[in-house]
Amino acid sequence: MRLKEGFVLRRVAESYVAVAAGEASHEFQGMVKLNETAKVIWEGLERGETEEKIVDRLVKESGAEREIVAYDVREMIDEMDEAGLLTD
Amino acid sequence: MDVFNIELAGLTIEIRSRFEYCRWFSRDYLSDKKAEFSVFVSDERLEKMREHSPDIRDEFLERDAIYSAIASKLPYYGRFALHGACISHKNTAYLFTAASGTGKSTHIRLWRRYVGEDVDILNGDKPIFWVSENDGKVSVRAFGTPWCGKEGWNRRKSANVGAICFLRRGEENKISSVVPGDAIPLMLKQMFHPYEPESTAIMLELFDKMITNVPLYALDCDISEDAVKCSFEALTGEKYKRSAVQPTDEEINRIWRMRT
Repeated sequence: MRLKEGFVLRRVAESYVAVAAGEASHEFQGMVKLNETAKVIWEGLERGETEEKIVDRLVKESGAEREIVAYDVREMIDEMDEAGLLTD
Repeated sequence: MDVFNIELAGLTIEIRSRFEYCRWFSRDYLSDKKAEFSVFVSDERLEKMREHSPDIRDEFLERDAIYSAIASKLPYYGRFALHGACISHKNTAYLFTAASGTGKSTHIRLWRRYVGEDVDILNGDKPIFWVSENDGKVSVRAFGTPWCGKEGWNRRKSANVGAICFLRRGEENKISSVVPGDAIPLMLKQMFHPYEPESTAIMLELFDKMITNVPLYALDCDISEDAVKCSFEALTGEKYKRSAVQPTDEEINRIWRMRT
């Protein structure tokens, strides 16, 4: 599972904002506002990393409990999948 | 093929158009200078637009596609296009932005009526902004363009942006400050998104500089004189004073369409 091509992520006014460009903008015209954690998940999916690897990184960076992090990651991946942002 | 240059937001752009109409449409912006880049609408692109809007004439479809093509290139030159109504008051620009049908045109027309001659139009629908940085100081300049919506309100001139105002229809007139983070969803929707990811990335960087350096406001308003007083005083910092002469809607339409 990875992020579709054509998304651009930039820091805008203390948040991270992702928008679609090119072909991707025909399917997805909105924007996504991300916090620090969501940004790490987003960039992991952009690189085509596994869910487990993304969880590993977040646990290492935040020191939070693995179960909680895994839950957050799952939730965000589900949301992104529903919004049509992911591909196999 | 009709080939000509226009000056837009301080850039010279070559336009290659199938129809003579486009030159006529941009007649106030023609230029003899050397072009920085060239735009052209492919047959495939025009065909796609026809499928999408079968009732609109080819001349108009091409005209709009040319603006999209220009807007796609603008970020490479530090500029971007945005959907909003932009006026100038004493050489400072004020941008009103909102979804179509909210009343941007109505609100700026009320400014012209009640504030008077100091208020002029830059672009009623799709102004271009140039974000530049000098010694760490960011300035944002608004430019008129011929692409300006159904009213045809535009001027080939520019002014530095003093404030941006998000418009909402309201029962009472009130205005408040907006923090940059809250402006992101309101404004990003009104921006032209380039085709290329590189250009989109630069556009986001310019957008960040704009909203973190220009004062932002949200205005709830009706269509009364009080609505103008409310936004005028907050945006300009001046005391509102009603103009002695108050032109009608038709008169303002005529003034703002007039070539200068």
